[in-house]
Amino acid sequence: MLGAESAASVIALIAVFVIFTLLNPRFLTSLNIKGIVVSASISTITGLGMTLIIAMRALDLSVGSIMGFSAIVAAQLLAAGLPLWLVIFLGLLIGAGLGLGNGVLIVVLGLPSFVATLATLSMILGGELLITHGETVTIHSPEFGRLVIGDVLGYIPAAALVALVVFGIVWIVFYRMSFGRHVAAIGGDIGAAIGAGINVSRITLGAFTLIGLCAALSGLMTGAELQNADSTIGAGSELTAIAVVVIGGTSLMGGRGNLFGTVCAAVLLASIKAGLNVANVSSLYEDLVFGSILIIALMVDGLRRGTRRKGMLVV
Amino acid sequence: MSNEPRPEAVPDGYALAHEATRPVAKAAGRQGVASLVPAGIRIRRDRSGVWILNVAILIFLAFAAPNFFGLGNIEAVLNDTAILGIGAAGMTILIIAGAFDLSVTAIMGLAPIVGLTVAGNDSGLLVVLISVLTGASLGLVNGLIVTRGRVAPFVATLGTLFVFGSIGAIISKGNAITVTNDLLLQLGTGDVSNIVPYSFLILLGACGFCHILLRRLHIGRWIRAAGSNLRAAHVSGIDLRAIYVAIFVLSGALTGLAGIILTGYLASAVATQAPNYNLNTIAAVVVGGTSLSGGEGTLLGTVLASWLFAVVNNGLILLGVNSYWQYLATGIILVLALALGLLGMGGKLWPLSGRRAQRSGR
Repeated sequence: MLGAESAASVIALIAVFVIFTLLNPRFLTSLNIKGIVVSASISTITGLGMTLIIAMRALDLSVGSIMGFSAIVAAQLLAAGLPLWLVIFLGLLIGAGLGLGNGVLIVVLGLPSFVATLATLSMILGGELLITHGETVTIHSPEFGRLVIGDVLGYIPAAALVALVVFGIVWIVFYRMSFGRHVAAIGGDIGAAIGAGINVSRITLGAFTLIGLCAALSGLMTGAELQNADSTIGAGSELTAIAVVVIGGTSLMGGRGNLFGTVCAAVLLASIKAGLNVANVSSLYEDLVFGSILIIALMVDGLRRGTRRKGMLVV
Repeated sequence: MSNEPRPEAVPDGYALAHEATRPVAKAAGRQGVASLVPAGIRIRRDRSGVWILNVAILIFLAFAAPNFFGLGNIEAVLNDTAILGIGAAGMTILIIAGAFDLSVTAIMGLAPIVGLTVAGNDSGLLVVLISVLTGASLGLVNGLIVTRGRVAPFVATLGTLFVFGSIGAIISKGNAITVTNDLLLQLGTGDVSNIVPYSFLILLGACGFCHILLRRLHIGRWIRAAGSNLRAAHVSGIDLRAIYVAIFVLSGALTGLAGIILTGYLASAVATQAPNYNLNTIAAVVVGGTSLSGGEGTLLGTVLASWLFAVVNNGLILLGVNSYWQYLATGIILVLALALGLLGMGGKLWPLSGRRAQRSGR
């Protein structure tokens, strides 16, 4: 399971921890580590879904909007007095429904996934704003918050357990079930996949429903952590999620997916963000570091591959 | 758009080998919605969606909001069209070549900030020049990362989106830079005889330039060849690296120009002045009938689509609808234009043929 890309991610992760601890020993306090784990868990969950989609040689740009939408609906339903378990269930159901909607647009209209999810990104965001009128909906539910930031078994934040369970499920679906093999087959060569008798429509619908579910879960967790929900939840996180997956060693060319790499990349980025914070660097520099890491990681990867296939431009 | 004779249906791979050959419908006869159009008028099948929506919305607005056709309003719509369209023109060429630029959002903010920081408010011309040059050099960075660093354009420009955006925020310290220079303000809001804004003239110039580049010069054929089949283009001896660097520079320069026009319009420069400009320009290019898989597309379609988005946003305001509906409208237009484009081709929506299913990947 630990390929070259994953090994690189793990080494980078250790290097980041050592550097930031040397810069400021406060980096290793339990509060800081807990913050890293919670934020990494939330971005991991969307990232795992995105890994499957990218392995299928598709993209889902609507995850950010789905995150916000499910958080907002959950906040409204909680305010209306529904029990917590029902709210969580309905929030996830909405995410799955929106994901399925993406799949239907792609399968029935034959739109490229990029365009279909670009359209739903905009539509769902419009829906969020129409529900909230651009205002913030507060969530008064400490037990909802505890499901994310509460401690389990002493130290471990609950969010980490949720992410672990999602990782387990997605891992089994992707590596141990025929569904996952079909996803990778479609990403590798869709013509061959059709020829082999794979039901491309069914797999596409399934994969987009799965990422909708993952995005909704991330959105609910963000809402629970912040104890409020508005349309800025998830804004822009579609691109961050793609970046996390790509840094984790999954190629946009499809056919393969590296779930463990995605987890490492999510933890790496969360720790860099927390580290810059602890090292007192202005938040204006966060994106600079994030973007540079993305470019450098891919350039190293590209040059490494380039030595094998000289002359061919990678586009 | 062109009077040259249409060749008979040709095999897909052959289409780019000859300059006179355009990507044409496999079937010669008119099918679907296209059969309703008189035989003398030729509408490219990919663009039928944007034409239908444009006509339908203009007719609707003529009844629902007659003040849409007031002089001042048309000018405002043309200005919006220009700001979206100038960046979308560069994006059209990139997408035809099979590339992307997600960093245009950041270039829109960074280029005017650099221009105003370096040249101040004294010389408007110098600010414009520096903004365009900044855009071009940011495009050069993108191009070099893609060609020399061997990173796919989508992720390379995703990285530079964060980097450029961050640099813009750092230079301006997250604040807005006020514009007082008359030339810059005129660039954003000035017009010819109260109808045509200067920005729209710039759009026409930019699109004309890109059109000639794409259709009348050798480099245009190479660009389309690269987008249509990268390996074949490489094998046939086209200098792909030079092509990609050149079009990233062009797109960056045009985006810098659009950025300084927007800055003049807003009378201030902020790093985040054009949020979602990357996705909006891609949407305009796609609605205009350019294929995301590369190889084919037109500037006319992009301009029509930019106009369509500007009209819809403006129309919603005139109708007194909550501005949040704009997001829904954008998404609906995107889906409708592509679905109508498919119908206009005489295609059926369901079930998918094998080829359509293949295309639905990305």
